[in-house]
Amino acid sequence: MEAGKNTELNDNAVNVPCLEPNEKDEKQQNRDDIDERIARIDFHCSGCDMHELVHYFGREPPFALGIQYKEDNYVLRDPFQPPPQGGRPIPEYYISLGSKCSSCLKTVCKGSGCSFFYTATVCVPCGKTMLKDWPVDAQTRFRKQLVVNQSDKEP
Amino acid sequence: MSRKQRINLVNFSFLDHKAELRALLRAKGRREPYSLVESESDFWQFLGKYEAMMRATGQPELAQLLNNDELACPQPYHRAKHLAMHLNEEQMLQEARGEIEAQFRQLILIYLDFRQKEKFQRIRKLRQAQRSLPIARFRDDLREALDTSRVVIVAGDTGCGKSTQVPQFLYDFGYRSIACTQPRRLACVSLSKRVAHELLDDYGSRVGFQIRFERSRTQHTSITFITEGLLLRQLAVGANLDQYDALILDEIHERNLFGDFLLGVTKCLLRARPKLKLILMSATINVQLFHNYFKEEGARLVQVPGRLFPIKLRYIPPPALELKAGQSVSTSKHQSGRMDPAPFVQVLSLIDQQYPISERGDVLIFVSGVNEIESVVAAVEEYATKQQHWIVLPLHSGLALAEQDKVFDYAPEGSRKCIVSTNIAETSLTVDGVRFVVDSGKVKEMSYDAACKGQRLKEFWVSKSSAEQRKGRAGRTGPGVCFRLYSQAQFDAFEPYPAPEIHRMPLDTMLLQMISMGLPDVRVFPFIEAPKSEQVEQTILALKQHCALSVEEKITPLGSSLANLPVELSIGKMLLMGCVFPEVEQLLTLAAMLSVQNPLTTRAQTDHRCERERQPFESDQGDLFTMLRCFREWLQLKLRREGTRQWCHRLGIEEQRFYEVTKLRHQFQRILESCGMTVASDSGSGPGSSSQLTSAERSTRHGELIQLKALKRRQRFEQPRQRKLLKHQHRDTEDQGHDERDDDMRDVDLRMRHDARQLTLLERSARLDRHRDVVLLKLLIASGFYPQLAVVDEFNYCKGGGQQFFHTRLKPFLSQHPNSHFAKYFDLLQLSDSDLLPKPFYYTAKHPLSSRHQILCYQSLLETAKPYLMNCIRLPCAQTLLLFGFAIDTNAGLTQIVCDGWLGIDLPAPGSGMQLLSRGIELRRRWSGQLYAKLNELSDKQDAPSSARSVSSDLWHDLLDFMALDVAYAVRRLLPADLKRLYTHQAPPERIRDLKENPFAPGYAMSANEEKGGINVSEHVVYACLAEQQWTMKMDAALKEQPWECAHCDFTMEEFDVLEQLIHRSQCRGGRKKSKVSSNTRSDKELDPERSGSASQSSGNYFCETCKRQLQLSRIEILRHRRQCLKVEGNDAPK
Repeated sequence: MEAGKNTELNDNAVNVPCLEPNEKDEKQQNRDDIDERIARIDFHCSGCDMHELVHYFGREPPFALGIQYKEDNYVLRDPFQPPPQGGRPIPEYYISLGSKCSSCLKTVCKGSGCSFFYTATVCVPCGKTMLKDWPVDAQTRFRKQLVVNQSDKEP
Repeated sequence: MSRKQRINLVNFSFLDHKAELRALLRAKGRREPYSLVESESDFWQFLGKYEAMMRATGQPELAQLLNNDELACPQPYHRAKHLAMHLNEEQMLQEARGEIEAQFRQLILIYLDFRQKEKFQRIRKLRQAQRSLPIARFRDDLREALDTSRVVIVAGDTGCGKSTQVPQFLYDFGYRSIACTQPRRLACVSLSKRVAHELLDDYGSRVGFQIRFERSRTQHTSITFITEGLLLRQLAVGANLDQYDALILDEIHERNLFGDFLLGVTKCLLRARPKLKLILMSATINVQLFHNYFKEEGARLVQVPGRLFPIKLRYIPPPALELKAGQSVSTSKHQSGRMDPAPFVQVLSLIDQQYPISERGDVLIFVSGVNEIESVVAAVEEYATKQQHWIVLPLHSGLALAEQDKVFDYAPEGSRKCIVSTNIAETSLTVDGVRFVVDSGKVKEMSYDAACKGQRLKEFWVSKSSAEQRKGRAGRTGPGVCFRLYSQAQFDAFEPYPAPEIHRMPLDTMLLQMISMGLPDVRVFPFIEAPKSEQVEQTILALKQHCALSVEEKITPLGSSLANLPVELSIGKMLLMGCVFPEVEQLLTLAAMLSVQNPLTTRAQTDHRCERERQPFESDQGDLFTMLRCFREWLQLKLRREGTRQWCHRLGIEEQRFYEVTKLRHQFQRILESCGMTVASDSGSGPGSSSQLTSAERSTRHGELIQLKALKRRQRFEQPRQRKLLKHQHRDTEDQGHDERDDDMRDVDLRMRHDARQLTLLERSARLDRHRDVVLLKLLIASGFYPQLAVVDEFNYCKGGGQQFFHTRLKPFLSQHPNSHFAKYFDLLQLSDSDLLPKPFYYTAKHPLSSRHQILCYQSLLETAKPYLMNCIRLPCAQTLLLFGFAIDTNAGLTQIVCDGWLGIDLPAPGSGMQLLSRGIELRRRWSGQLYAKLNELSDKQDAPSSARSVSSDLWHDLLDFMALDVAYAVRRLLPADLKRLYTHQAPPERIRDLKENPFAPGYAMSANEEKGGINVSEHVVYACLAEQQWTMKMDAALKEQPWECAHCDFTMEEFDVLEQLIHRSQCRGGRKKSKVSSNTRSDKELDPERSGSASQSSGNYFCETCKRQLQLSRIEILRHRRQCLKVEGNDAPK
């Protein structure tokens, strides 16, 4: 990505010679970590068929400083923010798309129609059977989510 | 621990403690702490809302915080158990101490969790929108079609999502090098941004674009949006587009020149590249045509139904017009030249009556052109003073981009916007929210008249398919209504489809490119709908005349260099012809200026203030030179770092064009340098050029560049413009509504490409103070534009401005465009009385004799209301014709010259014809000789010899001398009747046939011209093929009595005999002692008697017997005197 930008600027032929050593360093560095910047991990939601490639699966994405997930998550680098430059981390540079259902281990996305989080992720089908073991407040919240999701789909 | 006091939001707010808490928002970084949240202000806002929500729902007391073990246990219920992540305490900059800080940390976590959901929703929404596009359901069909066939046609109407989705589908199917062509540059940029966004790759380079001046493509790019023209260029350079594995041709239904050409080329390409997949995308217009065209390739068709709501159709032919039709409607329309906007306003009032304003929905009016838009806009604006809920917006391609964007903005509640558009909104631009379409049924289309090589902009009825497209625009967001301002019967008579551009455009550039790609015979090219074969033949002939093709229709070195240049042939030729001269800087600027659209806006012509502001820059050399002066002033403003936007606005200049000139110029320069036609100079912008700066300058420049780059980067990652709410506004203020930032970017871009020194050089290249620079540029223009010449009508001198006529070889009675300089100052093109020279007695023709005849060279011929000559320059007539004429014919005495069987030049002054012609031939051969030497050098890949420089500057000076030659002549336009008895059609007399050496062009083998008679003495000149006329015979007879003396040596002849003179010229070694200057035998400067002052050299004392006077006269003058003297005597005698 960074390499791409540099090439573009080179194309525009606006570099001053004394800038070059710097840029070379940057390029070298980019080439080293370019692989990790490409999303290669398949994420496929069993509920809604959402299909994406993500950068990371686990609890502590290296690009998400300051937070940890409670379970293994499929995490994407935030595509809507410019990538970090010069090793400076970017706040909220992470988006979790989903994780595995703690009960049936199927992959589910964070969508309200597919999963629910209460102490752990559960897929909606499992949630429906597990809900009786939860406190009433959690049950209400789960049911409400299902209703909202239903009405969301209608129009 | 200190968890005893619970926080109650009734009497506490975190917002009151921002200053102390702010540090808790930070985490440790490698070098410095960084924030946990993207936007702190957003966080505080969230916090305020959260507190308010807790208070409102009766939970002001914040729940006790749990530890990790507690959080994992379902019972008892706690809100925090819904959070899927926790903060990594080790990475926090500061430990949270006390309840307030701990609770605050928890709130940060809640905020981050909320943000995660928001971001997830954003991606999900994006995917949902993609999935709900009509094309989405055809993904598998497309995959299946691609598996079984190499050609797939995707037909679906605008809005079905094919342009954005199909490239992504292909990417998903595993294609990694996909090119998708677009007819328009802008579409390439916006599509590449959009598709990158959908691939969640806004900041990556998997998707790129490539357009004329810019590209964003890298080695990681898998999907490239590219303009059709550029893909064709890639085809011409790299064989067979090996870099792509899938090719998508989008919008092929538009049937533009490049699109049609690409279809044919890809059809051939499929044979050479068995693995290439071809996807054609079109609106549902005439799909069968494309399907049949690729039938033998087994094309599969995937048809995607559009998302169209029902549309009510109403034919309302304006009754007023129908009534008048019988009377004089056509004449009244001609007089005003304007369309009657009343029917459009009537439709608006109809809408007001029948549809309550509470029902939303905008109006889209289709008219034929910019003038029509203006008159409808004016009428609707007047209507809107009463019905204030209307917001009128014009839309056409001539508008500034910021202005165009306005049509996408929302009308406020209770208002309707009324967009008045050309056919640009028919397929290429989609405005949502339109409920009513008003279709005038008219379109203005450019057509090409091969017979006179001119373009014609005329109004036509649209085709059925266009009318249907226009109608469809009403049903994109809901049910709509389409009002057709014509009758059903009229509609039924419309053509089914619009005429493809290939039938309406000159073909020269395209044919040349085809041949340079290696196509053996363009006549058999598989056009989807072939142009007329006569037009193809005419184009091939023209290419031969320009020496781009050889007689055998093979491409010449000149031709392949021309095909290399991404400009019109005429401009390309101009550039190449100029490359033999030592200075090309000015030419580059000029050629760039000629290649962009006219920088003057429509307002520039109507607003007198603009005219006044431009006054100081006006040049009597024509509009082109005026524009160059403006450009120079613009660069000077840039150099002084003054604002140029306002200045351009004051003068009525579209500034974008000037930016384009700088880019285009740079492109020309790069191409010419890269192919070795010119030596790399320092005015170009490139990394190497800054090495010439001093170290201080360099460091300033360095700082500047860093700033500029940052600006540029910011712009690149900027989100696309958001739709805004439209305001009711007055027209006067509308012009000021430019997007400041947008303009800044163009300035930034210019400054990035040019440092101060380069800007200075650029400015210098637009400086045309020296007369000789102007003359040379005009010559170069003529070399490119020839045969686009026009002569002044012989009766213009006695007529006013409106009736000035001009004639070209193919078309008589043309006018200057009313906005042009020469239309206002038409006397510049006429001979003044002082220019007229006395005629010798034997020259009895009525045509005026002068040395100041001018001829016009025009860039194009455009017929709108009248046929107009566009972008003219004026040049000395005879010299121009002799330098560039394709076929130059003369009589034996060299007193008549005929150019291209069109213009006759009479040269009744003895010796003048020989002088003009022989110098013309010599210069022309030298010029093309140098050009070919250069072109051949290139093909031999040798370095240019340094001696070429002095040779070319000699040529330059000699050309300037030639242009300034003072020769008396008359010009007449030959009529078909003249042509019948123009030529002798006989073999030349024996004396000529026996010539041992070519007296005009040494080295050129003379041959008899079978067709016209006489002999070919150079590539373009036939000697002694014109039949003598009465006056030429009289002149010969008169001169025969005269002896002739060579002005250069002591050679004399008893009789004035042209052939002997010719023979002598080629042998003359310049023996005369006094006047021996030139060592170069071929330099005619000293040879010609007229110029080197025959008066002083060959004149002597003469005693006239009749008037008994001693006179100081040259030989010719003696002759003249004797005749006159006799006459006087004869007249006097009877008295």
